[in-house]
Amino acid sequence: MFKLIKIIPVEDTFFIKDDIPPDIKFNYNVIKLNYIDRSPFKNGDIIFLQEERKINIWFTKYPLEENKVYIPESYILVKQANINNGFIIYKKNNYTTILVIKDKQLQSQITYKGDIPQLQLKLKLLEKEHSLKNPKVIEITQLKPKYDIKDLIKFSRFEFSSENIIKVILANISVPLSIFFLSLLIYKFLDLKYLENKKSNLENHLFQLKLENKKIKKKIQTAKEKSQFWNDFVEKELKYPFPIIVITNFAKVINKYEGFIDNIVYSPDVISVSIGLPKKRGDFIKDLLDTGLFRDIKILGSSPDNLSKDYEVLSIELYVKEWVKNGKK
Amino acid sequence: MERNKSLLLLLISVVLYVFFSPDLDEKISSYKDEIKFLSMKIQKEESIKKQKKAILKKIDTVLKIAENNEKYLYKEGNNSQIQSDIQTLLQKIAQEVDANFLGASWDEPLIYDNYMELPVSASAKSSPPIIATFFYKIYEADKLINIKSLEIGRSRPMSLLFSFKASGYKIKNKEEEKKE
Repeated sequence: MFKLIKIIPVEDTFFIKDDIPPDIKFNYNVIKLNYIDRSPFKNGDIIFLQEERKINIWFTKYPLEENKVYIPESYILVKQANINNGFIIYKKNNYTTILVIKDKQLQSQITYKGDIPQLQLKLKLLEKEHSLKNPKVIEITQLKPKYDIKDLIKFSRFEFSSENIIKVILANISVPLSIFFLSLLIYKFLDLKYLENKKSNLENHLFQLKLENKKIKKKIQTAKEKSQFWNDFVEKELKYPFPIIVITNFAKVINKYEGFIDNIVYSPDVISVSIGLPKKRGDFIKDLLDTGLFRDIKILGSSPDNLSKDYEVLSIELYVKEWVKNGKK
Repeated sequence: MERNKSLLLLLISVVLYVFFSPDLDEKISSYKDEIKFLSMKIQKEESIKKQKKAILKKIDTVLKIAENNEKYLYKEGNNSQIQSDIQTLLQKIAQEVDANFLGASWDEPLIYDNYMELPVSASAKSSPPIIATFFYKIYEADKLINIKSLEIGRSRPMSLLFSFKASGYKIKNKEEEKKE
């Protein structure tokens, strides 16, 4: 996994401390130029920490990457121990390290492979060498990697000038920002194409709908016209019952009274007839009206029948009832 | 060098964005408005379609009856041809029922808005039951023949002379409507 902060193991570093003139700010390149020849490692690198009049330098076994922050393990151990004067004995991976602390500052770092022979004697010598008063001895077996933002700034090779910050920001965001702008542009273009396509589909759909509605409208119009045509046609042409129905029913009633039909003149609404009926007869007018075919019957005149004295000849007008009114039968 | 490349890329992408984006935004906005408008129109048309379909469903039966009824009216042929057909039909029926068909003449066609009435006057002689059968047969014909007037008189006992006006109908076609 990508890690921006790395802790350099104590066994992979060589520590020196040197005096420097006050009020001078060192940078990585200056330190490297002045001190790299003192590194015991051939292809290593440098981590440094500048104090007021001292400079702490850790030579590393391996080259370091430019964009990462490297913190020496010994620095964290000093912080973890939190003592004014003394020694930290740190055992890890078959290595034993002695860290000498004076006034809370790392003074020296000695790493051995395996255990340290005559440790007490070595500590006495170191105590003398660094003029330590009542030194404490702390043994650490487990590193607690605690560092804060100040530590990160201290060990960062980056110089916090506004120009540098802008440069770094630009360098880091230019590619993602380019991708963002181009992606946004592509997205808008695709969105436009999608909308263009959607619009075209909707236009087609609307056109089809209008066409369908036009067809339905035409069909409704045709149906209405046809319906109107038949209403008008029936109203005009088939307003009265068929003559044969009217005449047959009329003839049945006359026959019931043993009469005879002499003459019929039929027009759709009026029938003029000349009939012969016995003088002694029932109410044939009522029977004719009961057929439901006539709305009115008028006897226009009567005369004796030349052939039979028991009969008389009647001249009648029958007004036919409409069987279709306002288009309804 | 690498840094310059990425800066150049950023510059190009920003220029492209600034150059094309407003135009794309404008078009997108315009399309969105048009789509909204089209959707509203479609919704309206869908609603009209629904309503019209409901109306159509209601009047479909009427339409079917009307279309079926049309077969009883003449649609093709000129007026003389149709009047000739009516005369032939009357003669044929008279022959079938054994009535004595005396003759026929064609009256002037009557022209209405959507149809024409084509009257034929005819006379025949027969007994009352045959006359009844004759007229029933007329109403059973393939085309509607309407008896517009009828006159029946006795010629001798059990023999009646009858004259009548029978009309067929023709639906006007579009050309005939245009002529008017």
